Parts: sequence; structure tokens; C-alpha cells
Amino acid sequence: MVTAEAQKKVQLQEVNFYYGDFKALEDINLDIEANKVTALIGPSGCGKSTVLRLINRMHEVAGRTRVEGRVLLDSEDVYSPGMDVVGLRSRVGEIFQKPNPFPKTIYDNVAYGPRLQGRSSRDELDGIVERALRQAALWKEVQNKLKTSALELSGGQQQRLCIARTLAVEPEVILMDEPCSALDPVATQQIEDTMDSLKKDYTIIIVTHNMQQAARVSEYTGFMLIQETGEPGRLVEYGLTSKIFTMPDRKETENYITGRFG
Amino acid sequence: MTRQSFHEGLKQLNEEILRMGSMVVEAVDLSTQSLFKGDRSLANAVIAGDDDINELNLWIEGKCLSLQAQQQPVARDLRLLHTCLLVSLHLERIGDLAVNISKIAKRLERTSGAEPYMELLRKMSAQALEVLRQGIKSFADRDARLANSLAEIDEPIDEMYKEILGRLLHPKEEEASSAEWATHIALASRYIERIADQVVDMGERIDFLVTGHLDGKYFDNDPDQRFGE
Ligand SMILES: Nc1ncnc2c1ncn2[C@@H]1O[C@H](COP(=O)(O)OP(=O)(O)OP(=O)(O)O)[C@@H](O)[C@H]1O
Ligand SMILES: [Mg+2]
Repeated sequence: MVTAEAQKKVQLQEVNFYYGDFKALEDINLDIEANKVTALIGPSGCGKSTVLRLINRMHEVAGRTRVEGRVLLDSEDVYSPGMDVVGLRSRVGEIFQKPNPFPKTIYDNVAYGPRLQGRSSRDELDGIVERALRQAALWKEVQNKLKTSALELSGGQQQRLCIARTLAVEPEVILMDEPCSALDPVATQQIEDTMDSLKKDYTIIIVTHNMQQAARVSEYTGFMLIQETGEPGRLVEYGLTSKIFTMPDRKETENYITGRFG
Repeated sequence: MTRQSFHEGLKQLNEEILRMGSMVVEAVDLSTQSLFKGDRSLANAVIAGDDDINELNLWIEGKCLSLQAQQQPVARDLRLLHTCLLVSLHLERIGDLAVNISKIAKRLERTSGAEPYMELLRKMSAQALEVLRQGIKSFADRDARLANSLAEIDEPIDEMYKEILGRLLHPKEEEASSAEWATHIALASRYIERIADQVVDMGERIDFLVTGHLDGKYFDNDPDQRFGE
């Protein structure tokens, strides 16, 4: 049950999206609840990553694109002319599929964002780095080697470092695009536990191909689909994860999540 | 295990539930016949046959567990596994009740004045068998409406059960009987009534299978709330 007073952190309203002339998304309506984990699932190419990128305007680095409709963050239009895109991206952070730490020390990776924001006091940075690493459930493993290269960490540790790097600039929303697809089950579980502890302070949207992961980590799930090749992706069903994985409303959702493809 | 063999496993499970259903219908039919005819060998056959029902119940339980463990089923697959497990348990208990009836059939004295009771028990049995057949049909056809109507078909059974008990407490002159006989009649009618009740509960599971309703409510628990809070 979606309670009336539940806060809508991010809202997509009647969104169409184009890469050049190609319409990648059509009529997306999506309300993301604050302090919840929302999962987006659906077959490859249905537009999940595009939806994520729309929220912090990351697609704009990809070339000629066009957005129709409204994308709201705390009821404020992300595409209004006055929007400060750099500020937007620090409010809406992201984690990618492959961990992509900078070839710097663990410390410098986490301190990178805060330094860009002009924070340079040693004490303040130390505090930020420790807090972010603790939140990302990595502190215990790296506290004694903050000055070693991030590239010496395991894949799972690197991914948690990237989460810490995102958390260091205190975003409000965290977008995760298949954050565990390169990780083993142990590291995956650590990331999932991290997500669970983060949601009291953050709003998390995760794209995953792992349906069991979506079922495990999220409170809400959106299922996206393209009907035919070349057609735009649509949001077919959106609702409580427990409901979607027990009694989905739509036949397409049921077929997809039960592995009856095509 | 591949997805293909998973779907075959679900199909097999469905078929085995239906097979168990016919075994249980037969057990109830034969046990009540043995009661009315005083046929000891028929009663013994029902008692012996219960092992097969129990075994099938265990097989179904094991199959549900392994499919859940290996395939993490969701949506209609999840609902089917959950339902099969519970329907199988209901059927197994109905089998046990048929055994109980057969045991009474073996011990029931044939006394004069029993006929009005036997007549009521015959009607009850026929109605209980009807409820059972419709219950199994509602599973086979995934018919939620039929599953939900079982309570209605069950009502006359409850009425007849009360009538038998009332009559036993206040017997007419010519019906004077031993306490043992009266106990057997009371128990037999109770077992028949329980069979129909099991089917009515089974119907609620079948309603869930089809509609996702649990106890008439939609399965949409608030993530921040737990049942019972
Ligand atoms: N930069 C781009 N330029 C042109 N088309 C693009 C671009 N990025 C994505 N697309 C197209 O938009 C559609 C949606 O892509 P998107 O990456 O959002 O899908 P997805 O659901 O994330 O898929 P996957 O699960 O494979 O990651 C696809 O048809 C894709 O080819
Ligand atoms: Mg993608």
C-alpha cells in the first residue's frame, strides 16, 4: 500500500525520450518513494539505464538527446532552465556496473568529490572519508591502508569504494546500474546489505538483471518492456515488490519474472 | 536444473495433486460404503491404501521443497508451489479421516432403530463427496468462483451433523441404544463433517492460487508493516 503521506523523491511524468530520432522511452510515469529501494527490471534494451540517466541528466554527455514530459526531484523540474546541473549530479549520485575507481589511493578516491566541492581541511576530509567508508561497509577492511592504491582492492571492495565515493558528497538519491553484475555472491551480499543500511538516509534506484536481487533488496519494482524491436520502452507495471513477485497484474510481467520469455 | 525441467516439474506436481485427489475421493467413497454395508474387507482396503496417500503427500512436499530451493519461483509458479503443498496436506488429512471412518465401520454394531441415523449419514457422505469432487475440480480448472462456493455446498453437512448430535442426545423411545454405538455414530458424523471442512479450507488455497487473495484480502503488505502488528 502506497501511503498518501509517503514522500515522492523523484517523479517522472509522461516522459518520452529520444536519442537523436530514436524514441527510446514512451510515456513513463514513475513515482519514486523517498528512503526506499526501487528496482527497475526488464529485458536488455528496454531503457532501464536511460531512465536512470534521465534523473541526473547524465545522458546529456552522450550527444543529441531530447526529453519530453517532466522529471521532478523534490517536486522541482530537473530540466528547468535554472537547474544547476553540477549541483543536480551531486544530489543524485550513481554507481555503475563495473567498479571504476580512479587510479589513486583509497583516501583520494573518497575525498575526490568533497575536494571538488572546495572542502580542503584535512580534519574535515578525514571525517568525511571515514564516514563514507563506514556507510559503504568498507571501513573495517581498509582503515589501515587508506594510502594504498584503490586498484589493489578486490572487485567487491572496489565497488563498495565507489559507493563510498558517491556517498562522500552526500547525495540524496543514489542510482545503481547493475552494481553487482561483476561481483561474486559474497561481495554481492555485502553490497545488498550496504543498500539496506543506506536507505534510511538515501533514496536508492537500482537497475538489475538479477530478479532475485530485485526481489531481495527493493520495496518497489518497476517492470519495463519494449513490445517490438525499434519501439520505445515502456513501464508495464510498477508497484510493491512483494506484490509483483507474488501476484503481478500484467501477463507480460508474470511471463518475464517466471522465465517464460518470448 | 534447467528452466525447461522446472516447468515440467510444475506440470508433474499438478498431475500428482490430481492423482492424489482421485485416490482420496475413492478412499472417502469406500470408507463410507464400508460403514453403511458393514463391509470389513472394504474398510481394511481403505486403511491399507492410506499408506500410498501418505507417501504421495511426502513426495509432493519434497518436490515443492526442491523446486523452491533450486528455482526460486515467483508469481504464479510460487503460488502454485505454495498451494500444492497445502492442498496436499489437506488431502492427506482427508485420507486420515477416511481411515477413521473405516475403523468405525469395522466396530459398529448393527442395531435396530439405526436406520434414521444411517439415512442422515448417507446423505452427509454423499454431500461430502460432492464437496470434495468440486474442490478438486476447482483446483484442476483453476476456478476461484467454484473454490469460494464450497462453503455453501458444505452448509447442509453442518446442519445434518447437528441434527445427528441432537438426536443422539435426545433419542426417541424405539432408538434406545448403547453408549458405544452412539459414540461411534457421533464420531462417524464428525469425521464426515471434518472432511468437508478440510475441502472448504482447501478452497481458500485455490482462491489464492488463482487470485492472489489471502483471506479475501489482496497480497500487498506494506513493506514497513508486518502481519500481526
Ligand atoms: N547513447 C546512445 N545513443 C543511441 N541510442 C542509445 C544510446 N544509449 C542507449 N541507446 C538505445 O536506447 C535503448 C535503451 O537503452 P538502455 O541502455 O537504456 O537499455 P537497458 O534497458 O539499460 O539495457 P541493458 O539491460 O542491456 O543495459 C536501446 O535501444 C539502446 O540501443
Ligand atoms: Mg542498462
